[in-house]
Amino acid sequence: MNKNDVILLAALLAVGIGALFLTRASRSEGTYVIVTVDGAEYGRYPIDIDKVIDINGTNTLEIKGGSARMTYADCVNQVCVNQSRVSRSGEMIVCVPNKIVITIIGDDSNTFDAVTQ
Amino acid sequence: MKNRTAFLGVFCALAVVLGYLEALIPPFTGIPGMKLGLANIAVISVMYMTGVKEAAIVSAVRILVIGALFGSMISILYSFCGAALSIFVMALLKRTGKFSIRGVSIAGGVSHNIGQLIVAAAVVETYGVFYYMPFLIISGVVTGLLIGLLGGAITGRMKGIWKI
Repeated sequence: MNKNDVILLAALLAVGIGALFLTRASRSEGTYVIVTVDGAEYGRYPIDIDKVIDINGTNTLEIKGGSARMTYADCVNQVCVNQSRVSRSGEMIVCVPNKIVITIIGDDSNTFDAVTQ
Repeated sequence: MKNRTAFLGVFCALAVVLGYLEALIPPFTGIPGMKLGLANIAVISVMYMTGVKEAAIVSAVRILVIGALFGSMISILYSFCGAALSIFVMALLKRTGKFSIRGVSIAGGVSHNIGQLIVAAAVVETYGVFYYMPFLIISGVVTGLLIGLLGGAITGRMKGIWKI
């Protein structure tokens, strides 16, 4: 490790950890789970009511105990299925092959709809 | 130079085997896109032993082979954009001569993750996926450093064995 390596490492870590704290601090508990398929809204569900949602037969979303998780996807990657549960506003689960985006919104983040369109 | 083809073949094979090993490790972080990137040990070693062009060739071969064996079109697209950005950034940093293989590898790890995130954002047409960015920057630094340390160890030991 020479000096420039250490500076680069420290700078990138600082950006990463700083961004982590900034985004964490601005996230409140979510109230709704929004499902979009290929950019269009498929449905929105209250996060505090347990429910299992079938999305076009390709994916299954489970809302349980105030958080959401993808329990099934028909693709080989299984990236979204392996992701941990989401519950705070702004957090999302993305299934790229089926173009499905699960977004959590809170009372304070109604503007988020415009972003997901 | 005569055995350059054999040399690149060996490293392509190494990259594919490392990719296979990686596929055997179950995802445990719960954050999409976060992985070790073991195959990059072969890529960065080639970059330091021969050159950027050869490293790009090895990288392209392993993406196609690993993608066809264990992935899908989407995962190939992901890897391709991640690898393209990371090789570009690593080549730039290497050219400055101010960084060691470790620093170059750290930048490569971070830019690889950013490249993949850009693809994800483009495919699902949502900027929201950048919410993963902080996690992927941090994991890129850590895995990049590990890969750089291993790549440095390999290139150091290979010097006397294989004259390119």
